Amino acid sequence: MKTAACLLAIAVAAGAGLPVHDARAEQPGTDATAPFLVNARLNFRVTYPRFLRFRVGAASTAVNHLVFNVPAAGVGNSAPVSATSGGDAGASALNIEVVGNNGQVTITPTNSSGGLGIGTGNAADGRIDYNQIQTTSSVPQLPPPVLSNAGGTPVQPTLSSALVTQRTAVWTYSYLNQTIPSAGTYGGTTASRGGRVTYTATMP
Amino acid sequence: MKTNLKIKALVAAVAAASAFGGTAQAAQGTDTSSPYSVANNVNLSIVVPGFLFFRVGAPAGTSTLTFSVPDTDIGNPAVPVAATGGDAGASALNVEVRGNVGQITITPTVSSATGLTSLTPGNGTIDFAQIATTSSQNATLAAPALANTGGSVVTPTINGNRVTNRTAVWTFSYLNATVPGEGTYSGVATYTATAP
Amino acid sequence: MTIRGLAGYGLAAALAAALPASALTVVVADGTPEIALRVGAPGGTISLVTFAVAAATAGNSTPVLGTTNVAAGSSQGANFPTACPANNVRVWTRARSTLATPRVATLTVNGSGNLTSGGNSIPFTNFDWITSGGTEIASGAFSGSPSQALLTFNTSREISVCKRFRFLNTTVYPSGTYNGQLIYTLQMP
Repeated sequence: MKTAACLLAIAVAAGAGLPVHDARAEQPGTDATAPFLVNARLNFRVTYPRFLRFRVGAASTAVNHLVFNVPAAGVGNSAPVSATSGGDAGASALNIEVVGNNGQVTITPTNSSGGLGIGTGNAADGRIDYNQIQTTSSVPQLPPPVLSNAGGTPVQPTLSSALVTQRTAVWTYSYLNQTIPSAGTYGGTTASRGGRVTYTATMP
Repeated sequence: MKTNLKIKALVAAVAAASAFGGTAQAAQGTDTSSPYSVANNVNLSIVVPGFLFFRVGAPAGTSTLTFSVPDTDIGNPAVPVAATGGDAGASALNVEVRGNVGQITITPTVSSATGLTSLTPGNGTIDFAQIATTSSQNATLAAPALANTGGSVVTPTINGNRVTNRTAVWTFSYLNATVPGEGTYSGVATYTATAP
Repeated sequence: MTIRGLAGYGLAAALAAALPASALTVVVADGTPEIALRVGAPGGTISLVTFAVAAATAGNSTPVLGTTNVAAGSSQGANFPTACPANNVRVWTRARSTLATPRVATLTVNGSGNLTSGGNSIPFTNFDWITSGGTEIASGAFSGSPSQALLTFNTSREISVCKRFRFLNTTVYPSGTYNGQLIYTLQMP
């Protein structure tokens, strides 16, 4: 019986892509002639979407709210202040993930202050400049945008391979405390006070 | 003759402010159609407490300025007398005032309504007005004038919004316009900074 | 694993019905040397296992389970009358020799290639399988070897397992429909 030899020849020729149905490859295949050899083929198919996925902080619909409490004896003394609550990777840090598969990703920062900086809702108090918020990253390939009153500087995470970005990092925030602001609570969850930062990831 | 003037600085502290809780938009997202764009928000709060800081002379304790009048010049107003004991020069004190809750007021008070006093029986007093003070930053942090009733109130110039951050050097001199009895005359001037 | 000596098909059917469908070794009668192999559906159509990666979880290392049709895991003969669980692929082998000349059969798989989509590739090393029940063929991952050993057994026996394939989903790939083919080989000297 020659079934084994025919199957072997077909197996060698098979390569990329879905092979054409082979009427001779009946299963089960059998071989009654030494050396005994039977091949059987199995096709795999992966359907892979085109997508961009981006996470800043909690892996949910909740928005992180970092709260920096400046000590009364140290207002404006340039000793940086870490947030005491609000981060998901420590009180003053956020988990970041950017995953995409269609080319270079760009992350652009904007904020709700209209270019004025962070306020209390009372104009007489003045504003805190976004240059007092410093951000550092645990991974050089996923750097944080530098924030400014106008929004800030976009960054481009390093590609993992051609077309693909698959990066995670922790961004740590601190308040630089280099100025003396009027007493008050600046920013918060009311966007009109200017303390809402939006990071927008885009991909071709 | 010696005149000892002790300077005290008093600071009235002011209380703090409060923080928020919050509601939400997304912190993560996935986009599967062009144009590919995902926006995530982060809210920031900076809680700045109210404070007032005031320093006249030595950072801790009381500064003592001692004016020693030469025997040959007692009562000669053409020869005012400088002190020893200052921290910004012998007869001068470093002054700092900082705060963020609005207009600061510096009010002087003195230890006796009759002036600097002597332990020597029969001696009178020296009027606090005989201690003159000038400021290196007269426009923004003037020195209060001393008097037996206390003296003049000054209001340091606000830097912006509700914030004051001023420094100066206050220089003291004894005007030497009277002839007191021989002895050592002492008194305490207290400068008190207050804010709303 | 259960090994049973059989006198004929009738007895084998009665015994097999009481046993788990996922994995089993059945001793068969010695005879003229012959081997037989089936992977997936019987007949002439090559079975297809599909892995649908979701955008929300792509690359997060949670495996994506493969899906296939009922035929790919259908029963096989009197000794394996129960179908595999849904979305499992049946791997069935038989090796027979004479009592005087016992032989050893070996099942291997060639997972050295890739699935491809245009110029992009996903190596087979990104996949593994879960064997449901039994130890004849252990659960494992494709090593990338062109001849990865799966099973070695003596004549004369039938052995069958059910496999659920998984895409390991640790690396992100460009979008596309990736296709590839595995070749299982049963040999006996």
